Amino acid sequence: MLNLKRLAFLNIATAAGLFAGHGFAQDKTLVVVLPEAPVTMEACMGNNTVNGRVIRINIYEPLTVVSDTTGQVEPRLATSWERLDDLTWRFHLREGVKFHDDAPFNAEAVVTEMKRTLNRDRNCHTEQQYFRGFNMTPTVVDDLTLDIKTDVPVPILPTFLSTLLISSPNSPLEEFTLKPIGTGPYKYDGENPGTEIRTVKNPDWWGEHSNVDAVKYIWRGESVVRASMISVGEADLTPELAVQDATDPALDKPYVDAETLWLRIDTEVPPLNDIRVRQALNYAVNREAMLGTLVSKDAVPSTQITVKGVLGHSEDIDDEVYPYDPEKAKSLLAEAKADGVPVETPILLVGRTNILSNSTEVMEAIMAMFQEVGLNVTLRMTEIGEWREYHNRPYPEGRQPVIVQTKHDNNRGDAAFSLQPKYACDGTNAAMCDPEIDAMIAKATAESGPDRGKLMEEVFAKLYREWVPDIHLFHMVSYARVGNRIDYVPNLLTGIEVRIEDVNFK
Amino acid sequence: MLRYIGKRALQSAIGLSVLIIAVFFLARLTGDPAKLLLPINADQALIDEFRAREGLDRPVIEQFGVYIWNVLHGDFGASLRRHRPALDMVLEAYPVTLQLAFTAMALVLVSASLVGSVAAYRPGSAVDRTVTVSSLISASVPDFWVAISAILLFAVTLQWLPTSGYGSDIRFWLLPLGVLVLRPFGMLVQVVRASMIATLSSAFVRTARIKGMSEGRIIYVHALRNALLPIITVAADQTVGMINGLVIIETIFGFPGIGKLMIDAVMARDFPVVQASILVTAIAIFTLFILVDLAYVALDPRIRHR
Repeated sequence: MLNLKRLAFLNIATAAGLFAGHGFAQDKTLVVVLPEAPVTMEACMGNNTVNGRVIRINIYEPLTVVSDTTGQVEPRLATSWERLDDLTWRFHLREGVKFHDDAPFNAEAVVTEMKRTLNRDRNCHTEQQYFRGFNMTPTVVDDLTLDIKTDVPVPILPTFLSTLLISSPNSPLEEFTLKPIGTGPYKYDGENPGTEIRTVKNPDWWGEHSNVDAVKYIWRGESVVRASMISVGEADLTPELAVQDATDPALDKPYVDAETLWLRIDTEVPPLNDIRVRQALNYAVNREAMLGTLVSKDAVPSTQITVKGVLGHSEDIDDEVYPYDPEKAKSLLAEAKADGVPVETPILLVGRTNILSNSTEVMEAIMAMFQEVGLNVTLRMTEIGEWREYHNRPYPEGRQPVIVQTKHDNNRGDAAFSLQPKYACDGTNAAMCDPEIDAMIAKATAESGPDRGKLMEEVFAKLYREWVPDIHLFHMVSYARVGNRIDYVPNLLTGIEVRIEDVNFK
Repeated sequence: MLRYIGKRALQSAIGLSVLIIAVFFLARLTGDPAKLLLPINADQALIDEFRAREGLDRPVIEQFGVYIWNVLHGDFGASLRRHRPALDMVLEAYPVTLQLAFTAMALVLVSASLVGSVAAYRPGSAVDRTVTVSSLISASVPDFWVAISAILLFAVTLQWLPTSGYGSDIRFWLLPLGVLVLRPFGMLVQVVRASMIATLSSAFVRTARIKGMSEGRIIYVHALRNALLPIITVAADQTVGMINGLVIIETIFGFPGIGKLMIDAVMARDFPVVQASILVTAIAIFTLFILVDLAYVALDPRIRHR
């Protein structure tokens, strides 16, 4: 039997809450409207966009954070760190920090969180995505000093730890928590299931607050509805709008959001194993024609899968975007054909629905461009489950040549997170294998000194100039709509987190 | 009557059993949840680990046995995506959907009966033609488009109503209900009109007129009651369609109902939530049909269930 009184109460509370935000409320409660409700409030799922925009940084904090401008790792709950030897890092923790339930933040609390997050039975995305390549053994040196020893050298351990969100040691060890307790600037203040989540300022936070007293998160799946809510003052901020709804230059702020759209070529199957065919594919694409029509006019034609600001991004090749030159493409294909390359082989172009707005239209346009230069290409649009069959190893033996539409989002600030999975011989999403590239990736990612970025830049440059394993399209642009009541400048990280400490009422 | 209800309940139980089996096996034909729920870089070892943990690596028939055993003990499993009991999630969302669907259908029944009867009173008249054309438009217009247009007009331009949101304030309900009633209203007006035209040409209506009864009484008391059976049948069918098709309204207006929950679960291959939500929906629909059958008896004493 459903509790009707409770339901009625929820209705009234929701109505009261929403109307408090309607018509420019006088209090400093920020209303953020998201495209989707968080799936869970659990810390170890906080790096997923839908969850992170509510809980990451705002409720839970990590030991380190990645700067949205420099890509450098900066202090958060750890104030400094040093590498004691190849396998050991020492972290000095911030003093005087308390969790929202008054539990003290200390080295023991970090160890407890490592146990929670790294417990494979809990099915945590953070563990699955970032902590599978090595094992960590933490040792408490004293209350505010923690040593972490790894079984293999991990030169960017501080970067990895920017994904480990620390929850109170009183949080459940097995189940996912329903009530998030962190150290962040805002405390969980309840929710109306399916409707809204509320947080309030944590007066004991160690940092400097913005003037936002409380935050109410609501969600609407339709971009036009989110846009309308900001326009009429029902909400103050939405971090994501479809390009066709970003129609108000006064409110809509474009931002490069670390996402790059490109087509991955299966370089292991003829005719795509011939570099001239791969170059021809690149010359065949008219990127300019898609700008402002199929993708945002603010998108930037790309030459690599990481954006500027990520350590390892090569600015040297930024200006080397393939020009649209169908005649050059045809001549390269003719040259390959003369050498016996079976360029007439049917090629499968695999797109993914909803990977971006106009996903199908983009792929149809690209298919037509490939066909125009004489390639035998057919398009197959797939849902994510089927798409992963084409995108992730192991690929079937005897497969036909495939080009896969994909998107990459490196917001961790270090290209190592991109190079290994996409281009190493054993990379989960790689469709190429070159021992020389492998060695370069291994050397670059093992480097912890000032040359690290340069070494990774060299890999990108070599891939682009000498290997051509991709058809790079665009660094994508997202739009946030920011209401008249507040000041907020979206940045590279807005895609995964909306830091309320960066928002201020005017 | 009790015997009839028992018989119908038994039939429903058989239907439900078939449905449970079908949903369980069809859901698994959609693919592997591991490929949707794990990070994009997940390798085969991680996928295998996930499948083992969730019992998805066992033979399907064994999974089915475990599922049935658990359902019989009231355990619908936990959401693979949200790590919460699937039944709790469904029962949180269901009241919203029922509120929306039944309020909309009550409005549709009343308004379509009135309008359809007026049109049927003089078939072929200007009023009838206007009602027919407008009801056809109402039944054909895409609710997605109407919903967005209504928001832009009433919330953004005129600022009479909130754009969206859920609560007890009637202003939250006006736009969703307005959009939701359009299609069933259009269809039911057509059904009422056709049924009433047939009824108004019956002998008992002519008799009532000869006796000097007022036209209002003839139409809304005697004729409408006799014309109600097909109307209720179609209305029940429309209600079922509404419960299943609320996802658009819920998504656009931010109503936390079962439609969106179910679609999200299907898209994520969250089998426990798919199974729980379909089962709960089916129980509600079977109950509705039993109530409709009982309504037939109440409305027409000539019908006696055996």
